Amino acid sequence: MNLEQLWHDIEGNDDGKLEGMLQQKFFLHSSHQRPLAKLKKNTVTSLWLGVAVTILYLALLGVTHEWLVRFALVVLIGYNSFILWSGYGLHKLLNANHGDALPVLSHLRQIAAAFARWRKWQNQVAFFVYPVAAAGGFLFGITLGAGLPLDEVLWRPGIVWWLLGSVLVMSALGYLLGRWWYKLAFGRYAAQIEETIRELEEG
Amino acid sequence: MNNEAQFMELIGQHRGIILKLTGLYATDAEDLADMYQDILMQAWKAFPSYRGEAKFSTWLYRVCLNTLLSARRKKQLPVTGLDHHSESLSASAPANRSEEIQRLHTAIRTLSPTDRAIISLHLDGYDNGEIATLMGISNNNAGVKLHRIKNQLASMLKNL
Repeated sequence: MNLEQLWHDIEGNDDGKLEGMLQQKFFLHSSHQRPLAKLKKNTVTSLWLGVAVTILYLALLGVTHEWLVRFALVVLIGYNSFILWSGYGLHKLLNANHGDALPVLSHLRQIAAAFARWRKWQNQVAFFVYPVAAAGGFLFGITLGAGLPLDEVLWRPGIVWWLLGSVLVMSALGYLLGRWWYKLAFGRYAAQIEETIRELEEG
Repeated sequence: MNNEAQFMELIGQHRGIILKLTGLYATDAEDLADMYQDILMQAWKAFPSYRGEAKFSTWLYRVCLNTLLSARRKKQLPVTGLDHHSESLSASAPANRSEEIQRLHTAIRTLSPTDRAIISLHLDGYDNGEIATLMGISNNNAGVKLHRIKNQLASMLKNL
């Protein structure tokens, strides 16, 4: 059996779907549905969500006068700005890469590395930011709930333990929520790419 | 000839590459249509950077493989038996020949995604060096992989 000849004789029959697309040329202007496009879309969605949350923090910054809460909000706004900046860089990279310039392995490595880098940055910064966010949220909540200035509420018995407890719990929850969101939006896709890279690297 | 007309003409001339490669990766008709759309879109976006230094077929191969291999597989391909795509191959070929073609197609679809890419390049006449360049792996690795894939394929064809 001559495999080359058999391969040469293979003529995919797609009931004219490809012909139809070429005739109508709709792909020239339409958005597509494949995973890389979904990934790009998810990156944009994350960016818009980040913008919305940052605006919310800015609004809260305007209504609260407690310096500890304001400090937490400024840290969070800084963190969000960093995520938005790095996310925009990732989005630009994905959009610039049309898969024609690089060999397959380099193309896959570039995408995987960009996501891994983004994820690593987020994790490293989040390690410091989540506790600040949790403390800020707790302090904002109790001043709002008690209707008293923070200086008065903070010295109530047991409040420091509640603060520490909520920082621990909320930081852990924030970390888990972040992991879940990344996995949902990007993780499975990134894992798939890494699996393909491994296949190529192995002999 | 304008850019769009030139693109359409070149794609039309080389649509066999898209048909063959997508036939190796698609799990169903919907997946196949998605793959066409994605490849055409990527190729169209990348076309302005195509300067004719490489053959168009090689350029299109690269776009196809980068698109197909960086795509999430919705579900596993069937590992045994003939599927929709194999059944629809070369209906005009004589019965025996048609069966052989279907067996080859089924066997290749059973390979891992990267192995499918390497064997299709080989069967389309690319040498080890070209395969290595396109896939971004070393010449030696391409040779080792190809040797293993051929053995695997031969064994599968015996058993199919």
